[in-house]
Amino acid sequence: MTEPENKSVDALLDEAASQMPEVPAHLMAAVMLDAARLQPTKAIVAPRPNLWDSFLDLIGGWPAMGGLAAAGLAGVWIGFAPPATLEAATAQILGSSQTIDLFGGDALSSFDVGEVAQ
Amino acid sequence: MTDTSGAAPTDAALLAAYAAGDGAAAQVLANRLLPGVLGQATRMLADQAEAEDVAQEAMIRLWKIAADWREGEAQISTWLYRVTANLCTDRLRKRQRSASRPLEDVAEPPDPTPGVEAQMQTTARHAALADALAQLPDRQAQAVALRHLEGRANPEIAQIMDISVRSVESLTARGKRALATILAGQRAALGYEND
Repeated sequence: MTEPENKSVDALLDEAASQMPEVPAHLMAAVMLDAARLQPTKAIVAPRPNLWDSFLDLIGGWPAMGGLAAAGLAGVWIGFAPPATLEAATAQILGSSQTIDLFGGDALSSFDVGEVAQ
Repeated sequence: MTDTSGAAPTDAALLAAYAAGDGAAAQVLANRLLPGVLGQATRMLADQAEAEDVAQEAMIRLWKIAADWREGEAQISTWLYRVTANLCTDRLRKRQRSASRPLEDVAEPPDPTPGVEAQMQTTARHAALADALAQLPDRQAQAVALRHLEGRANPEIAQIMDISVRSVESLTARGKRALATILAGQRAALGYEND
């Protein structure tokens, strides 16, 4: 590389290096549009409701669930140990229980199968 | 974007804020980085429209990497130098493949006024330099551009290009010699005939 060649390359590089372009408004606008378009967003994914949550929603949530449980327990309790007033009230409404003997008491028990065959 | 310390937030902090949804951080980052990116592309390509395209593309890559950027791994400015240099050498390569345009082919007005003539010659010189850079191997072109157009120090160029300082010295020396050889035949057209 000769001295003049070297000098001209240095001069050319120096001249090119001195370029300091202003950022045009349209370029800044385009860059900011890109920034808005490409901005990472934390996707808000609604959790998929499971069967239990769907059931709770159906009956009206936890308060309704509490009422349902209390009613169930009360039913079980009344079934096992009905209060005397309840039995009286039931008898009052439905009447007392009656036993009807359609076949004359123990008649069938002494009935011989052999007699029937004849 | 809240900074109670009073010190200007770092590029990495701004990028993290942008990734977290702060649009204003992107504006600060663009104001800070875009002039440098556009300048680097303009100096290397000597073409305003192409330089703007490269600058926009480099910033797009920054926005895209925002969510994955690991603070402390690298300087954003260093990363941007590398991205812009790569985009520019891609453009130079395409330009060289599509058509080589001799300096003499640049159209001139019939009777240019002195000011216009000087401006045209400056533009033609920069175009000749870009065309000469296009003829260098990519790494040489990048090293020469970073050293002589961007004024970066060799250790910084080594970081940008991810090579050793010794390799930088070798690439810039060989690149500059090759540039001189390519441009030797155009000294008169470049306006250096009286040197």
